[in-house]
Amino acid sequence: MKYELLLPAGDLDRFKFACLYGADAVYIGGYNYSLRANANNFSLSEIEEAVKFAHDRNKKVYVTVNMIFHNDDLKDLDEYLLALDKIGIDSYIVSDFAVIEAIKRLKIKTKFFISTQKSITNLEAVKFYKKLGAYRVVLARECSREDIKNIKDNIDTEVEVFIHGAMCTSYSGRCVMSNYVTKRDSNRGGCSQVCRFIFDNNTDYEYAFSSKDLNMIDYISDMMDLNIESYKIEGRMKSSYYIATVANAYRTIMDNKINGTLTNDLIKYYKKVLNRVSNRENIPQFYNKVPGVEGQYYSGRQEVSNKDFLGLILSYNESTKEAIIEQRNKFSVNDVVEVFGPETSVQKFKIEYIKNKDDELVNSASHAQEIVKIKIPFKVCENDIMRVQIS
Amino acid sequence: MQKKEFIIIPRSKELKLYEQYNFNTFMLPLNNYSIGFDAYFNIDEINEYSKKYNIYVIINKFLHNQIYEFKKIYNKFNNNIKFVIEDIGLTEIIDKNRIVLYENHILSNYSSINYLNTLGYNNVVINNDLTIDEIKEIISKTKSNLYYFYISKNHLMYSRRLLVSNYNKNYNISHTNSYDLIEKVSGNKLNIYEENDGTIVTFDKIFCASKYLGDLQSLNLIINLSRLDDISERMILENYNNKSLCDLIDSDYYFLENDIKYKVGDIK
Repeated sequence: MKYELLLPAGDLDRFKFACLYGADAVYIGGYNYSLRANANNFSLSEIEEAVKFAHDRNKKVYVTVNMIFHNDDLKDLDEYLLALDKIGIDSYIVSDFAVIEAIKRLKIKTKFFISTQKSITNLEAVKFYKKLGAYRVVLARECSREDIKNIKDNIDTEVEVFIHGAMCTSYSGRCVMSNYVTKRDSNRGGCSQVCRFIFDNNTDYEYAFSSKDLNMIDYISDMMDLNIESYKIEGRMKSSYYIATVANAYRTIMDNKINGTLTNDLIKYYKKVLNRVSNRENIPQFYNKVPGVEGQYYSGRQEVSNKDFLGLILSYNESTKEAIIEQRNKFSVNDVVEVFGPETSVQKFKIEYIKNKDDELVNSASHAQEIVKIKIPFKVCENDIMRVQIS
Repeated sequence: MQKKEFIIIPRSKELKLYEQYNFNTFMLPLNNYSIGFDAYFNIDEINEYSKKYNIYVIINKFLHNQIYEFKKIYNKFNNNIKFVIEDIGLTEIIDKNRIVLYENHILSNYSSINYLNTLGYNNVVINNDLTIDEIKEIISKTKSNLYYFYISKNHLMYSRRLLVSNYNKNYNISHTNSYDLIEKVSGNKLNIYEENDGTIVTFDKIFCASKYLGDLQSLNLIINLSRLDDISERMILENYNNKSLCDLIDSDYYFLENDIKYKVGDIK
């Protein structure tokens, strides 16, 4: 059985990181019709480039066409769907019945599956969408293990589940708070995350009800035993570092599960990695029970910025063992740091020296995106990532 | 276009209270299967009322595996009852001709409605956050039997979480199942209500489309009395057929007159 790790990407750079760091497939949005209108998103030519990049590496590209259409939005839909089909994307992710109608009317061969916006929570709903031609459904994030198992045991439609990232407080697609409070249409890509705002409620405390994030690393093995096909990471607006780190963590866990080498220590380590890269606390949410008092925040945004990403490896000279690095956050001589990458397992080392662009020895790399040289005692590759020591 | 009916979602379980206002069609929330209403009904009550009135049952929860409990009770409903359903899985259980599809704020264009019609679902509730021009275009380009929340405290959000209990536990506040919320920046007022297995947020102002009643004659117009105060309820019952009703209550019809943008770049 093939288990798909599905990563998000908000632009071409992040797309490439997702592919390089372990995604089997990447989902992206075009300039129109996707639900993350504030992400950079992709032009058609960028989608074409992304598809070529992915297919050259035997990976898939899914394009979200999952907003809720108003009449005027329908005007260019046919043209857009045909253009994506011509490019050769692997699947549309759809929500509105109008998109399904258009795909069928235009006799488009590219497959489609159903977005989490439809809040599918039971087998009967999956049967409905299967009849419409969907080969896969993205289940609601509110589904329990029991819900998922009942679906998996009783139908051959592929199932995709979210395993990591931000959660809506509401069932997806059923929230228009953004529309009413900020006049931005949540179902047309303008969600302003009103569920993370602060309210007065005439008590001694302020009122907030935003959700903590989702993290299923403790349950990936169990989920794979349920034969779920696709494991989805949320976050088309997240950074390249986030994409690479989360992809690498779940790729490693899933590969070790497949190879029969998964250990509790490995899960523990990557749990620590994921906790550090997230800007909110994260829990398994609805998998085993409806989250209680521990599942949400009560005093507004609780986000912390992450400074773990120290530098991106641009090149490595095996004879001198010097790497050229583009700085992301400050690091100094004598710091113990880690490197990991698509082909580089996590290894740590102590920084013996740092040379600036003029080959002068300096104590720290403290300027954003400055190019420096450091000695790394083991082979690293272009696009590997240097971060603070987590192990 | 043929003039359609007004349908009441009642605040009270005593439907005879509404007879004096000439209502004989009701949409009744089903106990344990619906959320965000004031009055809930069990099967016996619904069947009894269906002998006297036209009855729709509204099921607006996502049912998860509870859908199989509904499968067991479906045949107990009288045959003349129709079902307004949000969980699309119920289409596998309920006869097509008894279904009114209701996807809350989702069904927003004529193409979707026409596609559902080809599948045999020709009774649908359209989104009431649309502009009047969008609604008129939908009416002109579809043949389905359209339903519309004409007067209602709109549901803005539906969560499976117990958002009020969790808050109360966190701050050790004695129990209440609802709060009025004021958003600190915009000053907008929302209401949050928790029920047994979920939470609903509504807008405090009452959505009211009476100003455009003349354009909505071919729709089945739903009047949801849930969450209203006594004075507003009475005002609505006495004036629902009056275009100026929206001026008589604390109403909101912003979306009927304004298409909202969805890209930051579109907001000038």
